[in-house]
Amino acid sequence: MTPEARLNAMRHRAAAEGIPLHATLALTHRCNFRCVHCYVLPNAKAPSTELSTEDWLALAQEAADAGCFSILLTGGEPLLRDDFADIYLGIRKMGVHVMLFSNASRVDERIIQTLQTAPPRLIEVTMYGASPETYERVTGRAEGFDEAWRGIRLLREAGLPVRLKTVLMQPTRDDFETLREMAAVDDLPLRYDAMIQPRFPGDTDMERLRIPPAEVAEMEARLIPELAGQWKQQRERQAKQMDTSATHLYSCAAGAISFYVSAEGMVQPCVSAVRHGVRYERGELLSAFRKGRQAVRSIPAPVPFECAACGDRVFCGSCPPIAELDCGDERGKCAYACALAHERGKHSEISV
Amino acid sequence: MNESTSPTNEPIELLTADSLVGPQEGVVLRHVAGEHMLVPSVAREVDLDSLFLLNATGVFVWEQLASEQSVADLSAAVAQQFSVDPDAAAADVVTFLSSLLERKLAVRA
Repeated sequence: MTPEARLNAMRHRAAAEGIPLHATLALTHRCNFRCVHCYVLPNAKAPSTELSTEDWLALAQEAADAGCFSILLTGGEPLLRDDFADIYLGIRKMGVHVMLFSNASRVDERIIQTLQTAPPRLIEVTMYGASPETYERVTGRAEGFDEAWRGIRLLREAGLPVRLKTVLMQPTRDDFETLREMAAVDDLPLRYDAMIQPRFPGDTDMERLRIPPAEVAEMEARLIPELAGQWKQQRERQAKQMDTSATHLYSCAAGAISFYVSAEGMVQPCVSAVRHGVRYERGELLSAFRKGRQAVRSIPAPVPFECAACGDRVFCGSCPPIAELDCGDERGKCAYACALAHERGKHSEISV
Repeated sequence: MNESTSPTNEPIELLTADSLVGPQEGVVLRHVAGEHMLVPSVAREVDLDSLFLLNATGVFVWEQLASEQSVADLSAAVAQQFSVDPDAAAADVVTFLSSLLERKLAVRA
């Protein structure tokens, strides 16, 4: 069997047997930015409720013992934890692949030394615009722009793997093209997301931040013309794999082979699946993961399941938890995600 | 004994029966969803393109490497453990150790 085939078999076995291959650990919900679109900070509990260093390391060890392959460290801003180095190096010593999400504003020589001691697979830095003025509008910290680029430069000079991402929304839309150019100059990959999710059920305030779907699709067609051809191929692949007879609502990795842990220790299928959270207790991580897995696997799909038969599903950023935040029903649809998927679908039909 | 997902690095000096080999510091044997793999936990970027998967024989040899071993001793251990021809075991052990050394997962004494 080829290595790729063995890795695929590994993933299938993990899904079938309930092995938590991937974990996302939100080390803290604290952040030094106050982003207007953030769905984490508004729901944050008091810092005193965060898991301790020992708790995080115990949890990660249980995950590794259960077969965890990779761990993503995120937040809030994970570098705000005074014990970040202890947690990070402790997890790397377990032989687990680690990725890090950060705003890079807190990267300094100590962080660089920590990461160089046991390099991560990837550091993904979220950029909130292409100028201090946009950073002020989005994060409340104009100096965050220079701080982020300084952090990125330090990481690159240290030979660490860095990728950028950004949020495509009203306050950042005018910076999108410039940010792409800045990333290209430094040969940095840049991905983006236009799906601004509600911070809590019924949060209509997010609508003012979202760019209308037709405008998102127009920007993509204008600035990233190669996307149309890629989407066409993705759409054709999806058409061959479509399972219109799907009876389960959840079709993603959440709860199947991956899980999320909040800063206070709630083990959830993903960051948004709050209702299926189980509190972490020492020695009980695998049990908590499997309870979440059982919970999401037991949710039947609606009949008829329109999403399963949707030709534009490959472009859709919705999922059951996001649908629940958006319309109050995890078996419903997020109208914005639907509209955006269909707009992209139209562009995918344009010949390249 | 192994299937790596990446091409080998620069060639290494040939191993002999007396060559002593030990594990690289910080390399961890992981068991993940039915697969055994070696993962460097320090000083190396963990790149999915360089995953080092092991089969049962590879796992056995790696576990013998907990302390420095000669190629001859490792070969004899494999031949006995798996009831195989000693020369075939020796050839497999040399190939396996060479792969580990190329990927800096093991070191020569």
